[in-house]
Amino acid sequence: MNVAPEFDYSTLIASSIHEVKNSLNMLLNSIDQVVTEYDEETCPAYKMFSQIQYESKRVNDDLVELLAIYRIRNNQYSANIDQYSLSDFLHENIGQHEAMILNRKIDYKIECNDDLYWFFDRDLLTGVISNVINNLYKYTKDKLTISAARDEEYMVIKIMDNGPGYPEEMLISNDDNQKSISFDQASTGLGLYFSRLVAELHKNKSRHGFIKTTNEGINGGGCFSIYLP
Amino acid sequence: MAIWSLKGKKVLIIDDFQEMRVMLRTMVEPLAPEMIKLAQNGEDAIECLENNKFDVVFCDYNLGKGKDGQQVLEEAKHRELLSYDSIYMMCTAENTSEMVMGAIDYLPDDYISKPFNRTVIHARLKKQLEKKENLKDISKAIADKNHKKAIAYCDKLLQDTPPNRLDLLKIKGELITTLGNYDVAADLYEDIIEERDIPWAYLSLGKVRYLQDDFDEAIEVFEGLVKENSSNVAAYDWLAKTYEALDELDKAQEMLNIGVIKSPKSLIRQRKLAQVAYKNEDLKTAQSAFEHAINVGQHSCYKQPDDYNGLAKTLVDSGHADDAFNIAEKMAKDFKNDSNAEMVAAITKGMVHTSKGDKEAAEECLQGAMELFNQNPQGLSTDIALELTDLCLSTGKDDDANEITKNLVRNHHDDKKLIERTKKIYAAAGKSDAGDALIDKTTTEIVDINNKGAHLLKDGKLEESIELFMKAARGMPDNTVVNLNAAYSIMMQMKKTGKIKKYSSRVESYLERVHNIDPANKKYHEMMEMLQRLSSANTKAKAA
Repeated sequence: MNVAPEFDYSTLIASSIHEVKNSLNMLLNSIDQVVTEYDEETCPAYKMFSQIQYESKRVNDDLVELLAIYRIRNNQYSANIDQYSLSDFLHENIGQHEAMILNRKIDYKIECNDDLYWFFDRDLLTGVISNVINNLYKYTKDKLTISAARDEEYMVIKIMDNGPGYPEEMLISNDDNQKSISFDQASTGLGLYFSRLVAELHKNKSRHGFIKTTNEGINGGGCFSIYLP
Repeated sequence: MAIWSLKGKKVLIIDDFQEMRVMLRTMVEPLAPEMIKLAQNGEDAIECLENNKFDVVFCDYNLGKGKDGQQVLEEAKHRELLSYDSIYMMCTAENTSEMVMGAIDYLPDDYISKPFNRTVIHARLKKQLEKKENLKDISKAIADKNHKKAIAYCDKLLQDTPPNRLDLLKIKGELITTLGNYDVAADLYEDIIEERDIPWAYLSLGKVRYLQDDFDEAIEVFEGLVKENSSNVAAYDWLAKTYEALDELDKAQEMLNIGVIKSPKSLIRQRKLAQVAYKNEDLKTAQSAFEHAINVGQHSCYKQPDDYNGLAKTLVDSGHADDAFNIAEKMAKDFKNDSNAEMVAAITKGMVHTSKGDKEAAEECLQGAMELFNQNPQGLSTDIALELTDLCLSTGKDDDANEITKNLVRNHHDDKKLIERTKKIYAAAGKSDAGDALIDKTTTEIVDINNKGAHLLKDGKLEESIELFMKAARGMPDNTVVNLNAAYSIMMQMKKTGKIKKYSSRVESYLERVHNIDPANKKYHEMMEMLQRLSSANTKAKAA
């Protein structure tokens, strides 16, 4: 079959994603409502709803990531870097996950000084954090800590849990930022790849951002860090 | 339940999806606003905005057919349907960077990416309300065009090195630039850059260098920006502008081409590319860019009949006179009840007929155009006025050509480039002497009026001078010097008689004209300040 010469794949993707995301948005909000208003006693299908909630949030976040990766790789993404309050930003990110966190009875903590402001692309960083938190649900026992602080010339956001920690092949230290990321566990792999891309897009005075994964979380759980210059 | 609220505030929600509108309403309702209105497309939204002063607007970027969210914002701000302290939140399913690239004049207060929930909406709204409250005095002073006062408020807030220090410096830098204090503005931006690589600081510094006519320096700054981030479309726009100022039109076109590929939805950028390509005789690019400009501008408050005229000219030049004629017809349809567009359409048709050698039909069109011109001589843009002059000269209607030229010179006697172009048109028609004589005579008339008025002022004959300049400003409303003189002589009268309130709105309207024609006019700011001094002295005198 011949493709029309004017066929523009990226426009098609962008407009389809617009539609899909609108639907997902509706879906997510309806489910959030069900999950917040009912519990296991008042709704027999409660467990299933909470599973649907989790999966649709992931579909949404993966979609956002794929589109962002496509744009960054094609030089179509112009990072929109501005200065934001980290406290506001972290609260907002946890706010997005409010229903899930309550539902899974996760004990969460936000550690951040009120006067900490930093420069970053809010959309991209929201994508990074959302992805890490989505994966964390699978592994954490019952704790989540998200923190932001200055570390010399960088600002670092850490997300920690008290699960079993990252497997060996998923550990990334600060010096092996060239190391290829394993996609064996597709979702985690995609998330880490995306996070590294986002980190590298943040530059200041010849310094680039980078990510780290360690098992120095709560009681040896996973700890994801993103450093932004 | 939130402690703060939207009590007494009016909220407008614009989205093409019914479910989304309802969902947003459910999220906002607990904040107890006085009114929530829903609109399903851009046209509905504008109607709502015409009927009510809204405090908060939620608008989806993608609204299906018709205006998009950015165009709604532009029209609302452009027509002053939204006040300076209103909040405009752009909701989007896509990434925000695309929109930032398209927008030039007006940015929303905040972007919210879908999906969002109630917690996020409330947090963002609260943040914006706090921000507006914090910047209230500055915004009010800017709305009153009292830039010096706005800068003083910035400095006051900056004293305590607040967390939003950079936001304040950004506003301050823009204000200083508006006032024309380029050296001070450049220092401010360089200090910020010293601290941190911030793209907007570089962009603003480049703009200042451009305004200082330091084009090499400007190019270096903008080049640095695109090297760092090849998607910085605003930097390409400024590169093009700078190359244009240097008369390097090939390079200007190259930059605009890159910008248009990266962000095709901007009417202003497509229009600029079309104009530059036409000058470069690259008809293919000019045609495509004019077509895009007409398409993306369909629902924009910035759409202009000139783009249709440009497309028609391009088509005639590339031997497609019939298509050009259709464009002129389409123009009449796309601009209903717009006498200016009607005039441009008649001129365009006249141009097409002339190119085909159909003198009779051409004359008929031009006669129609001249009738409309005589009804409203100020409606025409300078480009189209020149084109009409050209057509009249080539069809032997010298009297009409002279009328248009007189009007043009009266309104722009100090615009050297425009005078040059006019002279060239007369020269091309072999009527160099007649053209020069007419232009010189008209210019002398204006200079004489200004001199006479200045003498009257000096001799203390205020009323006579006011009468002279007001009459002159009626006949040449786009002449900056005459408008400034009218404003000045009235202010002298105000000072003398102490009757401030009675005349100040008249002064403002003269100054407003100057500002619209030439935003960088230094005299404008001096006189604005003088007016503000007179008004505040008056208030104080009354209070005492």
